[in-house]
Amino acid sequence: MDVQKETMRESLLVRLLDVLSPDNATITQIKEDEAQAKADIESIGNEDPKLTEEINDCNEILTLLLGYKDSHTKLGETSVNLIDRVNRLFEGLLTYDFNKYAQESKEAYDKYEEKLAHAKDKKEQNAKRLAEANEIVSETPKKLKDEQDKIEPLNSEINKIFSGEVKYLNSERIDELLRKLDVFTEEEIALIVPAICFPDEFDFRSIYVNYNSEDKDAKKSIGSIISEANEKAALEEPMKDATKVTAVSPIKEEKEEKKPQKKEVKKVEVKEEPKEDLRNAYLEEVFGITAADIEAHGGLDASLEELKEYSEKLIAADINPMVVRVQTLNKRSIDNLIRNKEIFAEMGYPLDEMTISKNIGILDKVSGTTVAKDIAIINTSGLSLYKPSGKVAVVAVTKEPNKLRNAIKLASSIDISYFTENPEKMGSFVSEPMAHILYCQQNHINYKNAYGEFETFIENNKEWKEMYGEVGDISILPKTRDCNEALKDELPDAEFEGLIKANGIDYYISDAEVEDSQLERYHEIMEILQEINTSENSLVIEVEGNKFLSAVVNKNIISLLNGNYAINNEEILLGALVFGSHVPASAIKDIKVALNPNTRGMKIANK
Amino acid sequence: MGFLKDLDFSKDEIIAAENNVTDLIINEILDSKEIVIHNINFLKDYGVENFKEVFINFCSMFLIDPSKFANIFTKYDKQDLINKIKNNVAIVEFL
Repeated sequence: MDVQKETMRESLLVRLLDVLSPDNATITQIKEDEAQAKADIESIGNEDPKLTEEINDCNEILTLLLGYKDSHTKLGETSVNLIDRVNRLFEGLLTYDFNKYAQESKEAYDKYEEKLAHAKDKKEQNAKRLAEANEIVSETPKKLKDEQDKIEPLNSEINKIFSGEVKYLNSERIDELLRKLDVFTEEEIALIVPAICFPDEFDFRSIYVNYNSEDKDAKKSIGSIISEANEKAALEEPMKDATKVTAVSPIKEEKEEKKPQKKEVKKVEVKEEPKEDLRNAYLEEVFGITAADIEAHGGLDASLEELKEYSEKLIAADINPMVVRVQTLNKRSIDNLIRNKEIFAEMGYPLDEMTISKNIGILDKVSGTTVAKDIAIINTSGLSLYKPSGKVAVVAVTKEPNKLRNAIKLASSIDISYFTENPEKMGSFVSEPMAHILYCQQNHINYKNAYGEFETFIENNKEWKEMYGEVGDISILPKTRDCNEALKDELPDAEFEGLIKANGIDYYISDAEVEDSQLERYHEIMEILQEINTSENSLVIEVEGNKFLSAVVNKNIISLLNGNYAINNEEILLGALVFGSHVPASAIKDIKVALNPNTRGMKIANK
Repeated sequence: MGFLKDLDFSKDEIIAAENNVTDLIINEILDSKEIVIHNINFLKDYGVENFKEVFINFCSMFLIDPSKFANIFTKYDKQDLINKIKNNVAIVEFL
């Protein structure tokens, strides 16, 4: 997948959020139209009586003027001699010009006639507009409902995934709902469906969060981020497909420019047929990619020169070009692959050729940032990506880091050996097998075979249901939220806030260091911990049957010590153990008993 | 991964495959659906009876180009390989 595609997708997602917004352009327009219609109705209501009055006045005046005009004209025409005599009699003292009066009367008449026509016209227009406005007002609720009906189902689906109600969405359903919006083209729909179904893999969640932020600047920043990304994309692959750079431009423009582009590409291909042969020969010889492979992918854009460049880069990075797939053959994927191989090696997992080859669909795709964060989480948790077979579980580092961290914490509270024996499972949906294991533990069911391997019913839901029925679903897993809530009542606010802060900042399960001034106290706390810990596995700490990931507990202790809160060692330990863990809230009581110097070591009844 | 229905996967098997990998891989599989279908069909036609189990356990491997995917399997004695995969799907990791 190339940068342009990603940035295009981001633009489309922002556009989608615009469309799904409760004040989207259409809804806003409908509301504005209604407001305008209401204003018009009111204005016409005020104006109409005045117009009627004006029309009546005009009619009256016109009747009057018509009399003057006619009489003056008549006098002017028929009494010329008489008038002439009268005028002469008064010798200029008084002049009667009936023609002039007739002309003035006519002008006044015409003026009022025009005024009357205008008033009548205006009244007619008002009547027409009033009918339209009334129709707009009466249709508004339906129009709003229609628009809501169009966007609501998609909003509802999106809310489901962001609220965690569902793990993923049905792509066919999303596709159908996007079509109903009647806003996006086929190509655009194909591009955004996966992002909606899997929001964390396409940054849709962050786009969504930013978009819905109250801070208008944040909204602006999405635009600027996308714009920057577009610029970056344009800079990164300027020659590959010049037309795609238009992704920087508004979507409409891009659509207009797409068709001629395709034609151009085709022309080049026809002209350079011999080069195409050379390229295909090179692909097969250097990358082991056949014409059938390319056909199966629907073509390959890279030129011979680019392929040579990729090959050189791979060899320089000590990667056999034969391991790549067709989709790797673009600048971004080649760089991704090289970077990821380096990250794996730097963080303790050098990858052999076979591993790269079999995981090429991951290594050329997953971002180096995710890989680095995931490996850091795994390493600092005390876990390893090495399977018992000696192979590296590459698949585990494709998980969104926060999800991975939570999965590890969950497994540590239930049975961490699920991950130590099967590190590839760190990349799986772990809640269900964990719920099955917990159910087995609670009901004394052996969930491991004679060789210590997990029974298949742990992962196979169908098998599980056949054996145990509708029990042991993920609702039995203790919720960290409940545990944290209960802990809140046990600790001073400042300490609790400190834990939240430490948890938020600490994206990795970090190797935080204790300050020198707190070193002595740290050792005291570690001694207490040693005293109450019954776990034989160094990865976890077990207190009264409740398990916690050692690395997280240690990090929490250090954070609380460095925070200099006015709390005693026992309180530090209670917070450090329980906060963010997956033990039931009821565990707090037992842990307090274990921590209390007076009751420490005493057995709790009914355990 | 609804397209798996057309390849004889049951609803439970599809869920199992989806649960076994991250969203990123599911998305990549959807993006490269044609290749994945090609590779599943190859395995099925090659005679690997538990091809669905292979897919569920090694989803990301099916993103490899068809010729390279086929090479992984065809370099071994066909019947021997089919039997071994049938007995223990985990051996695919070592091919």
